[in-house]
Amino acid sequence: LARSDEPRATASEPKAPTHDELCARALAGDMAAWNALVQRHNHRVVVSLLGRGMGLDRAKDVAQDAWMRLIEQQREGRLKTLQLPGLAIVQAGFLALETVRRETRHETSWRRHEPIDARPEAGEVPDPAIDAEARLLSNEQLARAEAVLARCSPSARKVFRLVYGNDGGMSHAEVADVVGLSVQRVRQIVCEVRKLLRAAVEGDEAKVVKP
Amino acid sequence: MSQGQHGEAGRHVTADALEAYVMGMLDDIEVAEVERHVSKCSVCEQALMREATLEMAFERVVRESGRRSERAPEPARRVAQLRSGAIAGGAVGAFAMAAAVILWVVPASTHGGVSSSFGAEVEANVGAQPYAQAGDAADDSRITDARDGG
Repeated sequence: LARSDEPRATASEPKAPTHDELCARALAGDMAAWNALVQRHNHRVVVSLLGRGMGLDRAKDVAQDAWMRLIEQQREGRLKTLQLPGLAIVQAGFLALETVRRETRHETSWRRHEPIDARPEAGEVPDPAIDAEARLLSNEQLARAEAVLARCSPSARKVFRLVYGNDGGMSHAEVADVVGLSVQRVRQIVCEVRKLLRAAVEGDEAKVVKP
Repeated sequence: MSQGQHGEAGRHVTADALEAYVMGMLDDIEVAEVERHVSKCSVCEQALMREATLEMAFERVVRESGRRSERAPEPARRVAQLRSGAIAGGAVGAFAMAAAVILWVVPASTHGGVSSSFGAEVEANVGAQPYAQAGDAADDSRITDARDGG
């Protein structure tokens, strides 16, 4: 598959409402604005659920539910601010946790009727209480990755932080606008830093050359 | 990724395509192609989950390194506060010392009586110019400020 140059390039289109404008309109109950925000951020929400170990089909369903909950909250006047995709990711995370808890309870009561040797080992049943963030990265991996990021050039660090910072970050096109580089160059930098961090996280740092 | 690697032929989605998927770098047709395969292939689904986990981990790395860099200037600020506090304390101490000397010396010289041998010694050394002495002490403290602060 060829990597597309256009999927996230919404901010640079002329006369398109800005992200903040869309959020303000969505908070005021504009469904078109909600649709635009879902269109823009849903993929990120799905990826966050995949990252929690949820299968693709279920992740898409839970992401959809998360958006519906947010829209309900807005209609009930319980949504005062809208920070996306962070809020949708958090909402989806709660729903994922709920789902796992419900299924664990169901699984446990169902398994009581099975012979003991057919029951799963303790480690096979996911513990919903485990903090998803801690599961993502051990402290040692985190330290290694941070050290690698600190050794990258300041411009590479800036690009990477803009893409991955602030609960979902900016699109590649937006980052390109901010730092004055082409979208292609931004993507190249992100891929290079990603490769370094991947090696650091996987304990294979020596194999990759600094960009 | 070349075509057909995740098609009906049964070949798996490449690591590059999965990476591009989680990074949101594929167009709608390519996304649909990847998802069609992944929803039927548990091997690729597991690989996609790992890739997504890594993607979320990168967000955490950026967040944590941001927090750390925000905290980093804190020790420097603390040292500066301690230093300015010490300097201010030194200046106050110097003024207090000067004031004590004045209070000790002035009444003794005014009333002509010296109550102790320590008082006599002070009178002999500084009693003739008590205010000049106090001013000198203050000036000394300012010079120290400047030196410490610079």
